[in-house]
Amino acid sequence: MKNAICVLFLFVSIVHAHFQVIYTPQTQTSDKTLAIIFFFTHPFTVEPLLRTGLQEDGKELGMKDVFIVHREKTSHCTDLLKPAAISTPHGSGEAQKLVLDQASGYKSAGDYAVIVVPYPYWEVSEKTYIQQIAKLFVNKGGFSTNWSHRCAKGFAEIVPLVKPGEVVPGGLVRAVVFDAAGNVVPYCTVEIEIVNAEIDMAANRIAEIGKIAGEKYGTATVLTDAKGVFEYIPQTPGFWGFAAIGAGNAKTWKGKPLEQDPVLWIQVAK
Amino acid sequence: MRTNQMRYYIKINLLTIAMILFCVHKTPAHTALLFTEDNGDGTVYIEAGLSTGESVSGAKIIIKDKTTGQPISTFLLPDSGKTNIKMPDVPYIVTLDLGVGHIVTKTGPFPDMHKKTDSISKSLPVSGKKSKKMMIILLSATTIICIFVCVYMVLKKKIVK
Repeated sequence: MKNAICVLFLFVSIVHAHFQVIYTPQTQTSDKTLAIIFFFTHPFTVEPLLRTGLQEDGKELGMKDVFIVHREKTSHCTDLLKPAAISTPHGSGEAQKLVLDQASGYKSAGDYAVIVVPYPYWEVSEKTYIQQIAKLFVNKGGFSTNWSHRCAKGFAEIVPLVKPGEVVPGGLVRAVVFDAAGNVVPYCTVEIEIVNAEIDMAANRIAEIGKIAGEKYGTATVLTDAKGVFEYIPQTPGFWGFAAIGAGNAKTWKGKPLEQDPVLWIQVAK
Repeated sequence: MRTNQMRYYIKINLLTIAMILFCVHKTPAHTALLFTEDNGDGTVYIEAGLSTGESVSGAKIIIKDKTTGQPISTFLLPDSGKTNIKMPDVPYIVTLDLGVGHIVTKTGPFPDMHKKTDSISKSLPVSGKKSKKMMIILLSATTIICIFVCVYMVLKKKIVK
């Protein structure tokens, strides 16, 4: 009986997906600076933070590239990343922080696509590398400029079909999945999870797990249709991640299987 | 029968009006937007556009003194819809004028805004006292005039009798 319960709990813990999280407290802002935090985890349970770019041999390669796309202009910001030790209820881990200001190109109003490309992560239990190319839109000053454009050219990408800053609980999230060559990806599995925690960036702390009690209200899986489009209606405010599993074109890394997933983050407003 | 028909037509008309009003309410698809930011070097960044992402080249920008309302400068935005200007020496408001229904006004960024705001807010009770005195004087004057008018009317009636 005890074994059966253990197996059940193991299964429950396995079903949570990995997500390369991009978080900032407010994605609709008029502030002069923008502070962002990046970490790799299972956002629904926020288990210990995973080591970004962990290789099979134990080396940690971290972030390959971080860039901002604003009005078709791309600014690389990898050099501005600063490591930060983050405490979580399951222990501490390392995240990356980024602060953008006028000098680093965060000046004019409009949509800023924040895109991270970490090195692939060796998932020992699946004997597979996972690489998630994640994207978050921050809007400055209310101007719509490039949220509906392809921003991560050369990579697989989820492009929203609804304005990311206007999604409310019960509102529709609709998006299309592209592969690196710009082709839509039909019948692709899209895993969805909410960041089920409070993130205190100033205190470097992730706390209060259990904001959403029921897993059914914080995680979901949908498929894209024949045109690569998927839809989902989040019922709870917060940060929702959408990962199109295996939509990327690269299938191997260092001779091992690679799962390359584009991820889109949407802040559902209160 | 006719009454029923009348009621039916009234209902249809009301429904149509409601739908028109709803549509009118839902049409701010082209909301004018104005963005200002302190560059930190004595200049201010000004950008104007529409919520749809369209630019507003040639849009009229008016800068006014926040306290007196006096115009400081008026100019047209270049094709890019954005520009940098020298920060005014006094607290100011920026107006984007794209024509009727598309006018946006906001307070411009000003480093000493808090100090100025404090000084303004401190001066408010004084002006408040002044306005109270004025109100009392006006009320007293109105009351006296009313009494005079009433007395005059009563006396006039007596004389007529």
